[in-house]
Amino acid sequence: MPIQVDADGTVHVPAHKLPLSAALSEQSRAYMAAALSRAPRTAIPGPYEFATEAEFKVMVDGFREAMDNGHGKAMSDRLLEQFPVTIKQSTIGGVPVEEFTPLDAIDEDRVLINLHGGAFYAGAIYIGRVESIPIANLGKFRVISVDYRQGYEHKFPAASEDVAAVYVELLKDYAPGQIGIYGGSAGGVLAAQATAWILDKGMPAPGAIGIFGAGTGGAGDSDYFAAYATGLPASPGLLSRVANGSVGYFSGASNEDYLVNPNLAPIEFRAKFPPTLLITGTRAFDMSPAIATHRALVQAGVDASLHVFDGLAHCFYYEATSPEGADANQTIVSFFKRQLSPNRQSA
Amino acid sequence: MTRRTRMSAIAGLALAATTAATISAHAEGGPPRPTITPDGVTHVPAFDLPPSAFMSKESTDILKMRAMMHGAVPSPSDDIATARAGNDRQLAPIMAMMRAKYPVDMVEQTIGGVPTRVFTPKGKPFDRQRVLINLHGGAFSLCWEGCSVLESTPIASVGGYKVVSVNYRMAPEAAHPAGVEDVAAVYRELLKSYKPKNIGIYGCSAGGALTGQAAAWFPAHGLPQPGAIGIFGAGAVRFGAGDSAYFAGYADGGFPPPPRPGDKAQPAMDRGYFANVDMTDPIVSPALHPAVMAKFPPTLLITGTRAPDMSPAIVTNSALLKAGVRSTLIVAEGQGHCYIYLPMFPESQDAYQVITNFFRDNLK
Repeated sequence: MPIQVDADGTVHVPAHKLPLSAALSEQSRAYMAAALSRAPRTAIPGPYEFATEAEFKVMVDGFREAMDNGHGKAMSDRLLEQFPVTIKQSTIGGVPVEEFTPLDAIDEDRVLINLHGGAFYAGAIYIGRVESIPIANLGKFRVISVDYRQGYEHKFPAASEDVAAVYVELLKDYAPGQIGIYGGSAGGVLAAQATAWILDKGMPAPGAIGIFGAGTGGAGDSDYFAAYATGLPASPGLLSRVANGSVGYFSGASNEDYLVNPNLAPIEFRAKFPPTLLITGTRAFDMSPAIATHRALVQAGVDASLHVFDGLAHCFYYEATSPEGADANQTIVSFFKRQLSPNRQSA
Repeated sequence: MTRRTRMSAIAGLALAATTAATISAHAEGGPPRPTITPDGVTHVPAFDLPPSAFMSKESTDILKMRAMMHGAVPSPSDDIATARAGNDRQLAPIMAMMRAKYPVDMVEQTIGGVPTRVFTPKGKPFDRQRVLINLHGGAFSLCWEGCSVLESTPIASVGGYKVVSVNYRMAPEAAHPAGVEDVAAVYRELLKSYKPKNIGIYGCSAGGALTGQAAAWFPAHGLPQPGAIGIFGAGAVRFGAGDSAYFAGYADGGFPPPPRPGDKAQPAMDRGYFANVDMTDPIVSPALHPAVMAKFPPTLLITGTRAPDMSPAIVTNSALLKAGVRSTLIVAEGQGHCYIYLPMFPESQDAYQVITNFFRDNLK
């Protein structure tokens, strides 16, 4: 089929029909069809859409309220029934956290730090629960989900500092090689940023990290493929615009700063990253950022493992009972079991 | 499941709050947006896809050339001699570029009764402990001349490896399992001089698929697994399925997208190599069979976001990881099918290094 290409390399893609991926499970097919055909679909509001902090604050307050009273709470309540765990609120290193422990035998040798998604302005508590409950239950892990400081109230590097504070406190009871850090969406970005922050401060690396539904860095093919495949207009450079608005958590930070985008760190610095698991999907806008981060780590000789699910969208594994969600969660559990070990000293 | 919980995960946080700001951002007159019918089919509007921001300048510059090259790909309707000659002509300039950049010695040699070419780095010592078997691409019907050189040369040179490229039987002269039988014959012979754990097998496109078939064939025929394999530009499952068949078909053009209802049937690229085979067979599509996957050695998969092999590759990676096999997946941003044939790309050079390191780490 002849494809028209301009001198600058722009491809004119013709109109076409894209069916659901043939690789999807029946459960995910039904789910995708139902979710996709519900109109109108809207993209997550980015800080770049707002001219003033005041307008941004109005949106964020509304977004948080909708999430806390709506799907965020409903989804975490449902997961708690399906994957029972104990939830305890506390403070570690001066930072508010929720601690998840399995009801029965607990893995005493490992601990995970979860960083919730939510675009660096939402997701505290409920998305933290969505990301922590299945992993604590399935892996018998102690999971500490961090209510890190984010926008509109706070600016970079407040979240990285909070993760580091929790990590330093855990180092009193655990070797670095026993501690894993992971998160989805914004939490995946933060897992990479916080690891860079920890290394930059001369601290030992955690034993392993997980970057899910995310990567650092900006634009790529997934801005187009994922947007069109999930019913949205193309959104070039979505992640970089989220991270470089004139308002919000990253306003005042630079995308060229390797503590914001660790892909840009010198290769010797990237080489200090611990084994890293990345999970994304072919219809996820985070696929290109995940690929870019994976490449930056592999180039530096880091043991980085990339898992791409066909036909699935951003943070699809939040749907923990779909076959693909169950696969992803099992992969996360196995990864941390294998990479975190009692006496291992990283870095 | 409630309506709200169903909404939540599909785009993570993306859908919950329909704020005034988002609505205004996507008001009428904005960029074209797709529509979706209740069966889940997305009707994608015509759109302009700029070069990926993550691509190197070299790859961006060459996008246009690559798009133009597609017209020269031999059609499966041509007779086989014409198709092979056209393929050789098309690849000659790239082969010259590859040989100039990565000097090697190449010797024709029959191994286990099968014709091969043995590549070693020119003017420098090579690894005597390890050996790699290369299985060239070419839709199971052509490209011995060019693809064997493009796949073996950079790995022999960069890695300091001895690479044995196999001229396995193809269509239309032969059919499955002739190719994998020839691979097994060469492998058997090499096992007289090398331990299985010191032998690696890799290939691109049809050669990648054949590599997966070999890893399914060996344990079923009493042969030990090699130390590691590389499946590039392919997966251990058939082509043409999954999202990438569409992404690549409409955005890259190297391969046609899946036929639409009413489209005229096209002749098969493989010229009948698999004509009488069940494509779900455990040797032909091992990624569909968890018990076969569980016996695979450590595997490296390389694909690209504009490659029709992306879905086969990622599905294979997931199947291997699920079966507890060490699997490493590299997806190159903005790249198409077997982009590693083009030595001027930094992405290709990255891949040569990754392949070299992978075999060094796993063949021991």
